[in-house]
Formats: sequence, structure tokens, C-alpha cells
Amino acid sequence: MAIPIKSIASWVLRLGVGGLFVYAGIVKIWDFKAGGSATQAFAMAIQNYQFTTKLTPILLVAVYLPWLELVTGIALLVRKWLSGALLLLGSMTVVFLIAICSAWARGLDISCGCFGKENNATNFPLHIAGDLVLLVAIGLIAWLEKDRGQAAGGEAGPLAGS
Amino acid sequence: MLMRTIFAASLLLAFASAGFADLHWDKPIQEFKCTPDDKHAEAHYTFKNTGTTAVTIKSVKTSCGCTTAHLDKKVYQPGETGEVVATYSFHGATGSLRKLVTVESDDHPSEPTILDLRVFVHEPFELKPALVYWRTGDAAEAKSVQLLANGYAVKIKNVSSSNPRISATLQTLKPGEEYLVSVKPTDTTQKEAAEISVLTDFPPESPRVYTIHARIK
Amino acid sequence: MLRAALRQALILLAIALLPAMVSGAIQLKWHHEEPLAPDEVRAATAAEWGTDVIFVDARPKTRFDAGHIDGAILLNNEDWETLSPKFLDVWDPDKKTVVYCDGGSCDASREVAERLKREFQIKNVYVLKGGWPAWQSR
Repeated sequence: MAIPIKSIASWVLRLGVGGLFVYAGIVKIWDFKAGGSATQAFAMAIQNYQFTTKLTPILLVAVYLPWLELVTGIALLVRKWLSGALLLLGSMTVVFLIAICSAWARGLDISCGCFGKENNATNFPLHIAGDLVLLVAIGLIAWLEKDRGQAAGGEAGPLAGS
Repeated sequence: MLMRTIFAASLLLAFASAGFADLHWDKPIQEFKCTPDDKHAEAHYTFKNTGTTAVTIKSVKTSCGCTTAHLDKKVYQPGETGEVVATYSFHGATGSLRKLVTVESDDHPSEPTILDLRVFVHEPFELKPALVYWRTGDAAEAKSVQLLANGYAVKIKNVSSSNPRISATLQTLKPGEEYLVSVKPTDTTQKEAAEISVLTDFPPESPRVYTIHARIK
Repeated sequence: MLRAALRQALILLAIALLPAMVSGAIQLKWHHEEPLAPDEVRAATAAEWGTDVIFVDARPKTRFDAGHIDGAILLNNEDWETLSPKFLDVWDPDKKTVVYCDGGSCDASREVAERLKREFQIKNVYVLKGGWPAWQSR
């Protein structure tokens, strides 16, 4: 084939999804506007979901999740450990979907906390639609990459994202 | 793929919920809408010991002196319910306010429960803004303050300035709803201060006086 | 395929765990602190601002009398009506206003700061992180 449509499509989708997760991870680690750690703001956002009143699980998620988003986003961008990255990205998106749906169902008026400190309350239908689009994109990447194998980013390559 | 993601998601959820304690709180976050006349808000946080052993509440701490929290007793048997009563006196503060109550128990000593008390105090009458100022040497132009009634009919009976060098005139835009006070210094050559009293007819039993502050800096 | 994906996912989970553990270890002390906010200022920064700052003590008068930051003005919610004119006499539109209380979980400073911004539409209002104890141990 003269034009590798599949690999171009995959590249565009990986750039979009990977870039989004890298961005979401970074702004939840560091608050560039305030010039400080964003962990507490993210912990507050998680607390607003009212899943638990205990601080420890909230802090664990607040510290770990942004790094996981960043690392898997980078893995997707550089095509390293691709199927693992897709599995994790898909799982995270599903968890986010469940969380946001449950917040909506309970009538919480909260900011989703997806991209660091936000003061606006989340538009739930729009947000859920966005997450579904993300899931479709992740599925598409998996389908596009199915036949390509891992040649471009083999296991022996330099460690991505560390 | 779908089955796999659902499996992974449920694993993650199981991980996230592993920290649940024996004490189950019904509504750890409570919100109230008040007016300044309410003076305080009272929240009842009920809980139940859903575990299999007795739970001892070690301490109930509030985030400031204006909030008190009360607990009937300390030890709760399995299946027993109890409540923490938190009272927040907001002392004229208005807008969105938030107080936290920290409950420590022996079921998870390192993970205190945070009870959240959120109060929105509705101000029946608003001055926008309550401060007007000029710098010395500025043009001695009049500055206006918008007076807005929120949900009640509030009439203004009188407006008076404490300083003859800064005058205040009242303009009625919508009787009972919207007024404009125009504040004007005679000149701005020296520093001045004036408190402008706005006497209202609300609430009828003890009409409130609002203050507009004027300064020449 | 599934095994490979799970194995790779585990590798990625482990890679993310490393920086998270470092970040978590550094930030452990946050456990008992109030959340950070964009208008908060650290004691060291406020000290650097020097004479460009007007300090506002948002604690009750008894606590203020027991000790306060040099030059600080008492202004709390309890006596807002009588104290706010005195604050405005000293207030300078060209200086920063830094509000503090007893630190830890006290939030009087935040309330007073919000009120100054909302009612008086004063700009450059900050809350001193850690409050009076942080200033003393600076």
C-alpha cells in the first residue's frame, strides 16, 4: 500500500489519546499556575466524589493515578508495551466513567478533577460523551495496531517514560 | 477487550474501597442554606457500627473555635447507631463557608473520618462594593455603590456620612429592590475616611444598618 | 495476547509506582494539613515581601493580644463591623494584604480573606499558609 492509512490513523489517535493522558497526568502532579504540587487539589476533587470519608485511600489514588496516566500516556505515544498501555488506559477510562456516572446519579454538583484544579462544575452528559469517545479511540488503536505487531517499539528499547 | 477492562476496573475499584471502616456514616458531607439571622447551623452526622466488634470514638475535633461538635458517648457496639452534632456559629460571615470535623476512632486509628459542614449564608441585602476609595490627587469624581435586595423587599430610610468632606446621595432605582448610593469627596488633596450608614427597614423588628466605607488614600 | 497485555500492564503499573512513591514520601506531611489554594502564601515569601505587606490577624482578640505578627491589624468575623473601619484606615491599595490565623486546621483567615475580596473588592489578598505558628518558626 502506498499510503499506510492504518499507521497514520493509529499515529493520530495515539497522539490524541496519549497526549491527553500525559497532559491530565502532569497537571494533576504539578499546578503550574500556583507553582506547587497539585496533589492536594486532586485529593480534594476525589473527596468530593464522596466514595469514602477516609483520607488514606484518597491520598493513595491522588498520588498514584496522575503518574499512571503520565506513564501509560507516554507508553502509548512511543508504542512501547502497547497492549498493556491500552489495557490500562481503557480500564482507567472505564473507572472514570463509573465515577462520573455515580456522581451524576447521586446529584453531586462537583468538578470532575480530570485536569487539575478546576472551579467549574462538570457538565455530566458532555463529560460522559467525552469518556465514551476516548474508549472508542482506545479500541480503535487496539484494532489498528493488532496486525502491526511490536516491531517499532520492541521490548529491548530504552525504558519509556522513566 | 470489554470483559477485560471491566475486570480490571472492578479490581481497581476493589483496591480503592479496601479502606472502608466499621463505622458507616450516612451523610459525611452536609450542606445548609442560611440567612445571617440564623446565627448558626447545626449538622447531625449519624453513623452505624456495621462491623463485628465494638468501636471507640477517641476524639472529635473541629477546625476552629466557632464550631463545636458533640457526641453522646464513646463506645458503640456492633449494630449500634450514634450521631455527632456539629454546630457552626458564623458570626455575620456570609457566602460559602466550610467547616471540617475530624473523628478519630480505634477501628482505623490512622485514618480519621472527616465530616464536612458546608454553609451558604444568604445575605438579604448586598452592597456592591462596601468600599470606595480614591488616591490623593485623583479626580474628585463620584463613585457609586449598588445596593441590592436579595429575596426580601428592603427599603432604605436614610443614608448619612460621618465626614462632611465626603458626601453620599441616594438614588432609588427600584423601590424595595435596587438603590444606588453616589459617594463624592469635595477634593482628594488629603487622606480622609468616612463611614456612610445606610439605614434600612429590614427586618422590621430590628432594622439593620449597613456601612459603606469611603477612603482617600 | 492477554498474558502479554497483563504483563505489560504490570510493568507500566510498577514504573508509575516509583515516582508516585517518591512524590508520596515527600508529601506525607500533608496528611494533617488543609488543602493548598492558589491565593495561599508561605511565611518565607511573605517575609520577603517586607514592607509591601499589611498583615491581618483573623483570630479572636484574646489570641491577638497574646501575640501577633509585628504591625498586624486585628480583623475577625466576630467583630467585623467595629474592626473593619480600623483595618481600612491602615489598608493601602498598593500593598498586599496577608491574612493569618492559628494555622493547622484553622480557617478564620480564609473566611476573612474571602470577605475582604467579596465585600470590599480588595485585590492582592493572600492567606498565610500555616498561620501564626508558621510565621514564628520561619
